[in-house]
Amino acid sequence: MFLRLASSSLVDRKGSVFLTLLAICVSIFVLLGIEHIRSEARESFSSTVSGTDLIVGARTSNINLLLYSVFRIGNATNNISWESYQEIASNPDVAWTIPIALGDSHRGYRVMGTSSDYFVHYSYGSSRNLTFRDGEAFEDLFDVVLGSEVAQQLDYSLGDELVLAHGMASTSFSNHDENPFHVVGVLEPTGTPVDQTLHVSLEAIEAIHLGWQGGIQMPGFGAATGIANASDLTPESITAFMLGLNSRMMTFGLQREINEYPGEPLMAILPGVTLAEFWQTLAVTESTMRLISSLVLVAALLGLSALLLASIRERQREIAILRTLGASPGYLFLLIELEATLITVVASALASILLYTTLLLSADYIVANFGLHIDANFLSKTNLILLFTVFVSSLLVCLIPAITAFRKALQ
Amino acid sequence: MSVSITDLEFSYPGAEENPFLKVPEWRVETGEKVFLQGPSGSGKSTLLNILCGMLPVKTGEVSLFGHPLDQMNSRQRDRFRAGNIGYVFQQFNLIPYLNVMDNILVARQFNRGGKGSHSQSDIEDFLLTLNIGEEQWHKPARALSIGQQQRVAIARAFVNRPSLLIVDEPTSSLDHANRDDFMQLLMDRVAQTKATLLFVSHDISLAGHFSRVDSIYDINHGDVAADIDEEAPV
Ligand SMILES: Nc1ncnc2c1ncn2[C@@H]1O[C@H](COP(=O)(O)OP(=O)(O)O)[C@@H](O)[C@H]1O
Ligand SMILES: [Mg+2]
Repeated sequence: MFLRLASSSLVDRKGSVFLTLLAICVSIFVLLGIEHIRSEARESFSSTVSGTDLIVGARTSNINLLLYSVFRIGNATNNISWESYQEIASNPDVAWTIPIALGDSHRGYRVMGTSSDYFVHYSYGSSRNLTFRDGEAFEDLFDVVLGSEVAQQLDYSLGDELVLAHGMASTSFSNHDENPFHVVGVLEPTGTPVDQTLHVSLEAIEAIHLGWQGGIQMPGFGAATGIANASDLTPESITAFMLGLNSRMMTFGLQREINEYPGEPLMAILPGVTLAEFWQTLAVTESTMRLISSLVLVAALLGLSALLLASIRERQREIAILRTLGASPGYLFLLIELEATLITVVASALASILLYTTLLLSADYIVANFGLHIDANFLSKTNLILLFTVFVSSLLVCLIPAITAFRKALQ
Repeated sequence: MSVSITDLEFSYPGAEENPFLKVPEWRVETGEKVFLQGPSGSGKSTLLNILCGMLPVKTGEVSLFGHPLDQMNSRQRDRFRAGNIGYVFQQFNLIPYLNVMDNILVARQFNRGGKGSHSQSDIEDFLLTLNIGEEQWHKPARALSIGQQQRVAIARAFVNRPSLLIVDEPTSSLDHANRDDFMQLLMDRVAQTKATLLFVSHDISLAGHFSRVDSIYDINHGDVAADIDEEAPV
């Protein structure tokens, strides 16, 4: 009967109750949505690379090296000479290396020159290796392996031919038309920038650049496949490389050695540490978002409190009736808190359904545009705590009308 | 003994130096039907609110059926009221958005969750004798006429089998036909249940229904500045 009383009273004021409920629903939606996307982004971000002990590049900032080598964001300021790479790779503590040569693109997607070790040693998430959905690793000079999203978005399959562009512009005028590539492999989706990358051999990168200088093709160097195959295609330099050690113990020793490398200015970073450092630079944005969404919620809850407070004036008569029937002032206090609870619970449920549906429906769009896999199940521990906090805050904010009702009952 | 008041003094907050109610002694026997008259502002409703435990007694002794109200705390008085007193006031007795049946059931829950109260089928029978047909039971109270609302208020007042019924100017917003209906139905029910009745009204013509007529002036010796009223006692 207590519940019936509270719910009938809310239904009786459905217009204003509905608007308040909507305001709370939207603010819970925003609060949970932001928290979920933030944590999914962080999760996906920090699982982009795993099992790599050091990333080595020309001296720049830690974060810049991480961004261009792993996330294909930004550009390297300098290259590493092939000799330095060979020397470090031959260090007895080094178990494997993955060279990285960047600079070309195909219809907006980055091209990465590497070795076939990439498909063996690169790992992401909780040490998951790359796997092929179709085909296999490149073997011939003009073979290309596509990330899953490249294949899907551009509708490529095994055996298709494609042409790489010099630089990053998606409608580049300087194409390497004379050397078309054949798709020999397509990778399974990983939820990392690998999905948006085209992989070719280092030699292929070298071959398509024969006769290019400063981004312009020299006349008379229409390098045909035969010529390219015949030339010595050992690269002069690479952009960066990843390495794995025989023993984790050696990480800091080797890092120091590379940072003090006498031949050229190099640096080595620990990917995990740098990922954390980078995320730290986003902390201000993160907490600003949180602050804003919390304030939106506070505003909505104050609206709820105002709604209930205003209702008490109209309900003086009702309070008097309940009192003569034997209701204690505490009963009226609880009645108002119950009304607040009902509104908050319904708003939370609506917001949850709305958020789940939105995440489900926008999953493809988010993957396509941000390369981010967002799980529709947003009920993480943090979000459950947030929901509980919303619930408790609504009870606290509605102490004001509840106490007013209590005092009215005493008169 | 149903009602027993000795040396009661009462004043609303802010006017403590001149008590507005002073009742040296007033007693009502169990089963009596008392008609209480007096002009408006003379303290009738205040006295009834003290008797039902809504207003606290600070000076004097008030007991109902041997239970001293002046020694109960507010929570105890609320429980006592729910279980022992039925109350009908002038107008707006019902919660407007609850339906007729829920308006009656809501009263039942305050009496120890309905223990010793009338059952739902008793309530239905009683509503029918009150001329509230089944088609009205699930309408919100605000959809009923004033006359119907006052009759539902009778049903609600009796739901917890009260020993004391307090009725405060119940007919002043009713026309003659509805008033006579109301009085008939109320007095029948009182006769059946043998409840003690305290009834306040301006309408002296109703006095014939009662076993005893009291004037508030004889009861209250306080500092009353009541309105001069054409229906004041002669
Ligand atoms: N809650 C209250 N606070 C202060 N004064 C009140 C309150 N209720 C009634 N009064 C005053 O007490 C006096 C008696 O009122 P009441 O008992 O309602 O008279 P009656 O029922 O005989 O018309 C009136 O002057 C009224 O203004
Ligand atoms: Mg009165």
